[in-house]
Amino acid sequence: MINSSLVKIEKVSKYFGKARVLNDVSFEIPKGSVLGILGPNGSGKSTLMRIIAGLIKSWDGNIYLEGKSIIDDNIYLHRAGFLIEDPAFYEHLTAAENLMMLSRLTDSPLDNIERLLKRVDLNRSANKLVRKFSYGMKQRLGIAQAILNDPDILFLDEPSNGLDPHGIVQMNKTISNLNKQGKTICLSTHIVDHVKDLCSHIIILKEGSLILDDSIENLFKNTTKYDIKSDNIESIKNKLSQLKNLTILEETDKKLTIDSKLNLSELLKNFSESDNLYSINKKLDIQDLFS
Amino acid sequence: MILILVKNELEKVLRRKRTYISFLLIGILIPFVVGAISNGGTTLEKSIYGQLSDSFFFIGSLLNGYLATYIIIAVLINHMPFLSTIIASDIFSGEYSRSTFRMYLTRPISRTKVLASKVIVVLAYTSTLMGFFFLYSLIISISWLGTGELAVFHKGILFLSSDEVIQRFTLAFLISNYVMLTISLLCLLISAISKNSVTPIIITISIVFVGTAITYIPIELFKIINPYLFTGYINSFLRAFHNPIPWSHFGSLFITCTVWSTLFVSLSLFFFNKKDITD
Repeated sequence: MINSSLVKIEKVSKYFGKARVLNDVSFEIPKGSVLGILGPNGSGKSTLMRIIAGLIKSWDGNIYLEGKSIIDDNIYLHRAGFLIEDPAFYEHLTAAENLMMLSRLTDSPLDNIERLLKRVDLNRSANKLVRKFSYGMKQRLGIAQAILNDPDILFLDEPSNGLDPHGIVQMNKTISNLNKQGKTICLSTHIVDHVKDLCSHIIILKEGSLILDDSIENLFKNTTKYDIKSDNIESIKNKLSQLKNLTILEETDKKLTIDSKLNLSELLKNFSESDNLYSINKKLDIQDLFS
Repeated sequence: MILILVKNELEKVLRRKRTYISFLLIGILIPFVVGAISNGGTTLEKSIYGQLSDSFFFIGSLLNGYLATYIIIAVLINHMPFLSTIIASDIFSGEYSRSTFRMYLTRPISRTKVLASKVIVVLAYTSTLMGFFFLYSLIISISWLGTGELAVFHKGILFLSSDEVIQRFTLAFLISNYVMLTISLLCLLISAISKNSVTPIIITISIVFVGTAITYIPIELFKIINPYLFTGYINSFLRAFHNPIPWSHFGSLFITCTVWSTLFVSLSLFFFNKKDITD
């Protein structure tokens, strides 16, 4: 259930030397949403995450958590969890010891640790040195440390980075479950395919500037692309070619991708049973949003 | 909160093998040196007596555990900065290079307190190491060579009674430890602005080396600035065995080292609080 905004980013700018890496970025993170921050490498996603996490000290603008500015007061970190880029732990300590150390900083109950490790499927490796963990295990431990203090909002910077396809599916499942449990999630990624399934809102950063801020629902509503699947693509193609303002973008044996300003019902009117139409769906091409 | 942070820092430090390298080196080195002193005792005594043997008749031996400890400390003290800065050099730079601050500093804790906890651990480590160095040298030397009066050179040859020697060694420890703490805090400052653990040791040792050179180079300018440099006091512990004890010199040492230590901690705080964690 998405309600009012939990976090408000207001005109945030950041310079590294003379280079401006964030340029008056403003957006809101709705409570209960999964907001995806998209952008190519160097677009300022990680810098923005680090500013929110309190890792970057000097920046312009303001950030509010439920209306309260986070500047000069890091108490908001009690309500937030972070996984910033690659997971980095004290590798000479075990997974449980790492979590124990962090638990003490937020006064979180120590008996949570076992439950958390089980939740990220690391309970059998609790007493193993982190040095011996695979990348995927470290990333799961990264999620565990981020939710250690039961935060209201999670900031995950490239959570799928370096994971194999199975790991990515698992990570997405974990993120989705956390959202279902009521946590607001803000994740940055440059892998656009993951966003459609996972996010309710997206923003796009390009060269430090915000170029898009919308909900996935709206983006689907406004897209003009359709995927049409059928056993009889030739017949469908013939019928569509008679329509005005329609372009066929891609064609395979059983699928056509078209661009048309017609709505779904207007399109459907053109087909008959003999066309063996399986499905016709709006297609959201995130890549297009970057241009 | 500060106690929790200190506990965390201790856990990070005590679980690392490099923490124990300095103790291991001292543990191995001291028995060798004591053994060497014991075997070369006659030569050593001749060099101590020197021309005094022409004027005096010595009964018994000057060589005992106290003298051996005195010699060991005098010889090795200039190398202690290498060992005592092992932890300080890595305490910030290690976290930067391994990116662990990305996780640690995203908790609701103040950076000032994080720095305070690291300073406490560095001071504790240096003091423990110096204490171990003094105590271990004494124990090994006394067990091997026994006790007796301590003969030191100060305005001729000075004999300190065995009752007094332990107090003098305690004072010597306090003096040398105080200087070593300043050196460790210098290393901590460099660690707070450096991204690798080797640079702080190299820079600290270079500064100590240059500072010590200034002490020994007989140039008027160096003589003027030397009392204000903490490096000029590295060998001041030897004066703990003088008669009378030069308390005014130790007062200058205390003030100088305190001022430098305060400066190093303040600068570390300034840099660490401003630092953007971008790695």
